[in-house]
Amino acid sequence: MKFTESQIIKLYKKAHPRLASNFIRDTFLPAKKRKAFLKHLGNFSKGDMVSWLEQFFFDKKNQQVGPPAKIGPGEVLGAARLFTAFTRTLMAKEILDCEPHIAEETIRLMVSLEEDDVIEYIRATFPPFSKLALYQMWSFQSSEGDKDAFYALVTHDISCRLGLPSYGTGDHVIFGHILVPKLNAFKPTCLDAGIMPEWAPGGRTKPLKPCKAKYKTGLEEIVHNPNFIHNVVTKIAIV
Amino acid sequence: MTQSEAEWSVDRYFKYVYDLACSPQQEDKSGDTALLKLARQVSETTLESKLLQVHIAAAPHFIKHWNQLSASASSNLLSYLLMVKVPLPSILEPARKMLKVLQTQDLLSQRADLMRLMSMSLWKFSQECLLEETALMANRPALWFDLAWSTSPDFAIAFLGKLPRTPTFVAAIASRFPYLWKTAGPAYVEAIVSEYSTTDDTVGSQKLRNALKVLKMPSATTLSNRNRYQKFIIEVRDSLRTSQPLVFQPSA
Repeated sequence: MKFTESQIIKLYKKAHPRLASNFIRDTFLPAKKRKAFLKHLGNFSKGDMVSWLEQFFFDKKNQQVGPPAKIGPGEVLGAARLFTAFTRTLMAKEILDCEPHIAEETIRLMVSLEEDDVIEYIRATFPPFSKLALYQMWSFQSSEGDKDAFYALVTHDISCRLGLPSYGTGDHVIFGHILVPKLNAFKPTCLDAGIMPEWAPGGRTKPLKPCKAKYKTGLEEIVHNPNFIHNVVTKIAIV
Repeated sequence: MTQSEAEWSVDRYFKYVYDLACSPQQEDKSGDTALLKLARQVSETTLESKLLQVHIAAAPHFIKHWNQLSASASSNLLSYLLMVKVPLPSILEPARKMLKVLQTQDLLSQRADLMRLMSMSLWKFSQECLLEETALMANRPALWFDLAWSTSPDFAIAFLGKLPRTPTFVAAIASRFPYLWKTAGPAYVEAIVSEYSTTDDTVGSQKLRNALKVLKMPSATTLSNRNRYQKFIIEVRDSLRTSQPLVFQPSA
């Protein structure tokens, strides 16, 4: 049986209202990808719909397909990652082959260093192509009038401001980095966000409830290929 | 994960974690994955909770299936088990048997992961056993060094010269400096630097000297104080949850 597009959207809305709403409202999603996604969804017959959706989201072809991000030359972007995710990625088996508690000591040392010393330690320690994330990385541009959100690295509620689903569940490592060319930086679409429940379209972060009143507007979101440790240009902080 | 505590059984938990480990690890904006989320959920439960009991009971099942895992699935499962932690008594016997199986099947990556798990669960490999692991010394020198270090720092340093001096291994050793410094003292770190200074590897030697230089900086030497302070913050947070009185005593 062949479904029409409106029937597919109706089915999607019924099964996952939030994800369907993001899909409908996402103006960054190219028409070609929208059509391909609906076609994929239309082939769903029974079973776990989330796994079915993930097949599409996890396909590299469907990620970083929004409009290119505008990043000034030498612009420092902010990034926030869970402490565990950061240590796990940076000290990965393929490069530093590190146990988590050793990785933790290293990151805590870096956090305790002054900015110039962090950069020197990175140069002395890590191979240049140590990745900061496994698959895809999200970064944030400071908003106008608040240019030092990541430079000062003292904002204790930055993970709330960024709308991170892991806010309140663990330490976040935050730092500033510069994107080198060829890292495919784009505005995120609902296909980049996948089944992340807290994400909303529009290209800006959505501050979570506890700090919503304080931060009216979010920061610009960017998705790109994983950057490398040698492009970290600020102090590293744990918030 | 939406399952409630009561819905978990050993079989169900085993299958759920095993399947997740065998799947690609999709990260969200902060680097969170489904495995990480579950690991946090299990870590945060109390000793009496059913989920933790199910985790402990399921641990030997993971070990018994280790030779069926791909290299990446083995790595994912290792990360998960290290985050949640597994008590050594519950995995020791199956792990010993599995190590022998993995040796005969020539699955070096999976064997290395299992040895890492045993080491992190406080098992100490004998020096003889480690010296027999020549494939591990050649292919996973940083792991071999860690296992040797946990047996005896002197033993690890004595065999440093036998490990391949690739740029990656130099970086791996440099990244361990804070840990080595903290567990055995600065003399051992300086011994590593001088060991490299006597070779032709000028780039590696320079890298290690620079890493040591940073470690000796005044801001770095406050590391232990900062760690103590962070521990204090965590204790305060926990005590607020449990309403227990807390006294912080800074060391002299």
